[in-house]
Amino acid sequence: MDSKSERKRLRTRWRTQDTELSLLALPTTIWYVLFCFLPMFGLIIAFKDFKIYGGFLSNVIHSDWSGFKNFEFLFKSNDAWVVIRNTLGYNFIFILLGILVPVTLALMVGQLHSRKAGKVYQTMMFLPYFLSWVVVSAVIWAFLSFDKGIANQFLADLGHDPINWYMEEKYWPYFLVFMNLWKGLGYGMVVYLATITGIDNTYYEAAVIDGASKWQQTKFITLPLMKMVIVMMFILSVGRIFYTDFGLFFQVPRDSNSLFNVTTTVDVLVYKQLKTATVGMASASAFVQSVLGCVTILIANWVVRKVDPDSAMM
Amino acid sequence: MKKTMKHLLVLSTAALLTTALAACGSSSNSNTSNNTAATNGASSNQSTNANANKPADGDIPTLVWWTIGGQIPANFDKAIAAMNAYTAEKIGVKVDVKVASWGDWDTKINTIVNTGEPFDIMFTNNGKYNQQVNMGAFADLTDLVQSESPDLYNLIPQKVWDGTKVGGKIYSVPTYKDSSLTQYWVFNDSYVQKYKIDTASIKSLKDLDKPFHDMKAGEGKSFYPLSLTQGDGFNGFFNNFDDMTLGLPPIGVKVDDASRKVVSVLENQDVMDGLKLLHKWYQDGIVNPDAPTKTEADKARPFFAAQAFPGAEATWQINEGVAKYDMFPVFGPIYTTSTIQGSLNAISANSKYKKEALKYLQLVNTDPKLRNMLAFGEPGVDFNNVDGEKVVERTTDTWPLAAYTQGTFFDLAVTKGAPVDQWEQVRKLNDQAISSTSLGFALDISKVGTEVANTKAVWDKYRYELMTGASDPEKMVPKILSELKAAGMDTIMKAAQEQIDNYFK
Repeated sequence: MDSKSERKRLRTRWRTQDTELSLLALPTTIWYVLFCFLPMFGLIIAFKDFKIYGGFLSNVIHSDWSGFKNFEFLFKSNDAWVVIRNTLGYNFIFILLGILVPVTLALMVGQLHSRKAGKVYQTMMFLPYFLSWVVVSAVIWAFLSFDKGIANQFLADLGHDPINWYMEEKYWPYFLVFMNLWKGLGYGMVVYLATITGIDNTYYEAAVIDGASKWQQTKFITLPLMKMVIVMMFILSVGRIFYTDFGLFFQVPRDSNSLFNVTTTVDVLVYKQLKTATVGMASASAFVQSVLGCVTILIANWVVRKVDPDSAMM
Repeated sequence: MKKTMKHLLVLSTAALLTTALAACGSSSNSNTSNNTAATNGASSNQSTNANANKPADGDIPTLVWWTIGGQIPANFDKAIAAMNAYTAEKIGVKVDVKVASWGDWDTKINTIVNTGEPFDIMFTNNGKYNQQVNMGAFADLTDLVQSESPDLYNLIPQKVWDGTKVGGKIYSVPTYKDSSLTQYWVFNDSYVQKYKIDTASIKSLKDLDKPFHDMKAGEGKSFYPLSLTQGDGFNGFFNNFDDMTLGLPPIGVKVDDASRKVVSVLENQDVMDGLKLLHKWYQDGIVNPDAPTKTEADKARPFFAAQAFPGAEATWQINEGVAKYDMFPVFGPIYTTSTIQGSLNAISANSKYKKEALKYLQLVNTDPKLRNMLAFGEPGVDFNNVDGEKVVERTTDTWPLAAYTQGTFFDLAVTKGAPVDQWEQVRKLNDQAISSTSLGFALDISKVGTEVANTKAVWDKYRYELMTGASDPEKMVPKILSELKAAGMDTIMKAAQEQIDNYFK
């Protein structure tokens, strides 16, 4: 095994292209280092009895080790499983719908003859993505407020009793799923539309000559060529299955007590802990969240590799 | 594998080093935000990574003071600059006042303490103080306050100093104000006239029933006599119990219980009756239906309950735009450890200017001119002096800082419209105040941290709806209690009982 000569033979020259691509990746890399890799050292806090000694770093270094004491609280609390159920349940539905609906719509928009109309529809669907959840929650409040809301006015006009929306658990899973879909739809479509636009037209021409219908074109050309992207998006979203959109689950239900069991997710719990409990406890929750997230992404990738090795990311 | 490990190690060391360097770097930046603000009246709240430990110009240090307040008005920096000009000359200290809004304060103050962001003085209260002292965030002032600021030490009665002690040491300067609690109920006078409400005969929650129903019947469907918010519920509901600074209402000691028995408050019959009444009001449309999710209180409420003192209505009338409020005391005055700890200003354990901070707090507590600027804003803009520094007339309602968070009331001017002897009356209240049997005792939660966090989480899940009357106490209280017990309530009560028995041995 002469590994040295082996490596020499494999080493290609650094080209201009490489420089350009590296520069292109630089901002993202810096962002990741600053906001994803550096904060990781904070995970130590989960295993410490955090005390103040000076600056933040010396606090982390000088605090005593406390083993798994901070985790105790998370698993002792009765809510742990409710919260994990919500996080996984909602995300499971979001992932499913978040692939089904945008892909379907992307296919539809891709079929449009007028490129202009397609752009208009896409922009319209994209707009909600730019609204913050705080704004959205105020708008929803205008709909669902008990005594001033449009929804209850409407019910009253129909002769029904008004409903105290913010104290009724049963409606909220549907609300949240709908709101999430409404907001993320346009954003989710972008990637799929780009893929569809990137497909070489000659495939379709050949298919049309063979007499393929629109549906057959979609089934045998578009979808197979999109598969790779869909699987990639799926793996990425599975990796974030323990993370939820904090704004959706905290702002929209307005921190209502009655809705605790259907709206509290891990992120919301961590936030509430930062308010009342200690940093160590909040870090412990975040730690569990990260580890479980990592495990799920590896499992998802492993499953995909078993089924279709070409689509797997690692 | 070996290689990657090595790479990772290199990477992580590098990362740690960068953060360390960054931390050093930030501490050599001088804090210029104040100078610019002072010279050109720049817009509010420049949150530069200001560093508290560097003189702003030459040898006059600028202390960072984190406090609580409302919306920052446009003239905020000018007002602070006027204050600084005065104090720089007087004691050679300036301050940079940073304001956390009422709603954010909880989270923000926790973050500042935890991340070790430099500050010199911080407003805190009974809900946070104990935990922060436990964490080692605050400087021990026991000796320092006597040697550096003797006037301050002598101004505040020993009883009040004792109320701030944790483990026998002083970690903050208490605000000597209405340090005893007097609970008032306040009616908007126009409704009192309209519905002939006899406030003199109102002594308990039950007596409110008739006036509320009269108001509701007369004003119509979308009028709510009792407008509540999720954070507050019915203010003062648990006054009969001393919470030992735990900040968890379901556990307490009855204020007049000579045997100092730690009890489960929700199982008390009076509390239960009160909760039932609240629930009935909620169902009858007395309470606003959105109370459990409402975060900001309405202005000009027809009725509210508040901890107050004689003459407080003058301030409310200005802030809420109401012609006249009728207020009458219903409970107290009483001293508990929590009421004394209702407003504290602590000094950071890492502050380089502990002595200067104490000097500044001493000046706040003894110098009427500075005191009024802090409480009312920019002289000539937010307020005008009517009678020297004794009586002022407020001309705006935008000043964000709350007088109770800063320093004693006894060198503060009286707002025009309040009784001139207002502060004398407050002093009398303090003198008349009875003491809770557990006064001076503060629970040490270091050994039951997990249980406290868990029980607080359970309480937070239910308190908005319970304390606004939205949920039915007959159904909910047993449920809440069983969850509290599962979360370790009994352990806390046992520990509290042991500690309290030891303390008063």
